Amino acid sequence: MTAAAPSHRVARCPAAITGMGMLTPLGNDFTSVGDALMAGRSGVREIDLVDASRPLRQFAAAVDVIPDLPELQPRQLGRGANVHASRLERLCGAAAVAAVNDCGVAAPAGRRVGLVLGIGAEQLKTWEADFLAGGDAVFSGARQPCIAARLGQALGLSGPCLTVAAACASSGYALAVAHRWLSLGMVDACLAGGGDIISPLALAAFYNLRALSRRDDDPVKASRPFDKARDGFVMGEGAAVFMLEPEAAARQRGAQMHGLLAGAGMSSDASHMVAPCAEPAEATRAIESALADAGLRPDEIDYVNAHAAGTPVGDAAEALAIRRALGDAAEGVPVSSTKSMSGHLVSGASAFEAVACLAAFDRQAIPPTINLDDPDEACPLNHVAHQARPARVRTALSNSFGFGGSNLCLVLKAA
Amino acid sequence: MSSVHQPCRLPVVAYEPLSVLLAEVDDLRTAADPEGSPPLPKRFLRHADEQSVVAVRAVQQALAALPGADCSRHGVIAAPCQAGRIASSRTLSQYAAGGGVTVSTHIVPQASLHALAAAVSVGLGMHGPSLGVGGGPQALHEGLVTAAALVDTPGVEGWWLVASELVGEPRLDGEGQATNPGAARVDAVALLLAPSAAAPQWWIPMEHAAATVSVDGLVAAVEHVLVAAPAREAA
Repeated sequence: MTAAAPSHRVARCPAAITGMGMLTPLGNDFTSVGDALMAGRSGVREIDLVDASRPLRQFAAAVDVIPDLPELQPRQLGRGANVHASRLERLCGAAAVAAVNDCGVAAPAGRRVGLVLGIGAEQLKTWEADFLAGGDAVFSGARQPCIAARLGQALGLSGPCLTVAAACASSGYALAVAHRWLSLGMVDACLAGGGDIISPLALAAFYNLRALSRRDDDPVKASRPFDKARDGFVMGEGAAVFMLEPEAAARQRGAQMHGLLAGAGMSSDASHMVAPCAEPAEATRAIESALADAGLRPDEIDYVNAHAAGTPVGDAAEALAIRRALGDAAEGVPVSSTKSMSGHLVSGASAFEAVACLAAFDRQAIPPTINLDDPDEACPLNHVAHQARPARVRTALSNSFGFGGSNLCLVLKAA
Repeated sequence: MSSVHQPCRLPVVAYEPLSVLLAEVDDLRTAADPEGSPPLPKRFLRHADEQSVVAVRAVQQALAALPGADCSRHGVIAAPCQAGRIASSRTLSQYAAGGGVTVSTHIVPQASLHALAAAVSVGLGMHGPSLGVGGGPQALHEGLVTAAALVDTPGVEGWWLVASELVGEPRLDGEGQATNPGAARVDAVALLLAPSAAAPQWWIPMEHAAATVSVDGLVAAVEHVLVAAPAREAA
């Protein structure tokens, strides 16, 4: 049964994306990431987090280098002189600093700038890093400010700074919350995005859940969304953060605009703590709500960046949701999953995939789903397989779904 | 001069605090559903974090006091503080001893920041958005600021703002056991926010929200910011 359409059609004011920063397996700036996406280049490789209890080689899509920025030194983050930021904090922080620098306007007096980071398991990853370094924070329970609060202090932000989490949809929820803060006038501008890191515990947990691909003979071929031979996702890591401002204000000050965040839709399957719902009524509703929020019809969408992580149930359910939500327009709208190249950035996936949509606007081309050798009949979509496809791209949908039944869809528009 | 403003106040139609000794949380996992509340799936709370267990029960108790309420289009904002610490301590100790094969499949879905919201949504059949917020010492305040942004989301008929904490953050041993189990306590507060409610029982003025960070104790912090709605507004 198709989900009932949302009763409201409220077009909120679009948020202009006036700055962005990223650290990803495909590069640490918009040009590099765009080049990699359009070239169909994979960021997946064998990694060094060797777990002797495992029979398989380990592979993932990792970030090579996280810069050690002056803005993120212990004193700026409100820490003791020798207490350095965690890898997760440096990753998200570096993306936020890059977004501020790209925007060209930090936090001038009188402007209330907020920060919303989507990080699904900040405490767990912080305890893990501390424990593996010989600390006992998980046992002592000492309460520490969250990464968003520390970054807000380091960047001199006067607006609310907080973390949200919706598993693999976390950074999309962060963008949705920031969009609504802007629409309500709660902030003048807002940094929003999210990130995640590969850690031994996360790799082991997802492996034991049988969520990860076990195709260790050729890691570059392992992430294969929508392909008949898909067998799970490939873990990735990275962060992407955007500076959002009301479109009218951005135009008034003559700001650069990478694109617009036009709408967001959210819902929950309410069916299982882990497994996606094979009957995607609520995923469909999230897509429909996002279209309504943006004031767009299905036939006005030029590209769908699918969540499609390469799991057998999830990809098929998403394909059905896309077809239901877009109706007849689904036949013509090109769809791809950039996770085939980037791996699954987990909490950071939604923000990274928004970058992919902006790259599609910038290059006027659809990034491909690589490794899509044999499309699954259960995923009947207008796939862009193997190679980027030149196209007129002015609007895009980006889906993110997560554990706990989280469904999130963003609508982006070219500026 | 900034033109920024915030929504003035959040309407609250239900409020349910629940405080449970840590040593008694396991009993709560399998306790009977409160009469009048939606039932949980069988054994649903078996692997849930301690804060999730108490929070879900708080929401059930609140729903029991709202006979006939349909929560299927409700959303959930969960604002726990350091949720998942007990399971994480156990998992990390096991990982150090035995490697990746020992890592529980429940650690990510039940001990991440979204887990409490997901437990309420999945357990009680709520199809509105669900998300975790904060996770640290200012989680309640962050939950309120997030609720202010989302409370008028089209198609969402009510929002549960659920906050929780392990009171006093007891020290844990290598097996995830509190070293003072008799005194340790889990507190949770469930608030139902409904933008279209004709009869809110309380308001939370947003200028009060910041005050939550300076009040010691979750329940006291919530009660500090709740303002009883005048009779003419509640009628």
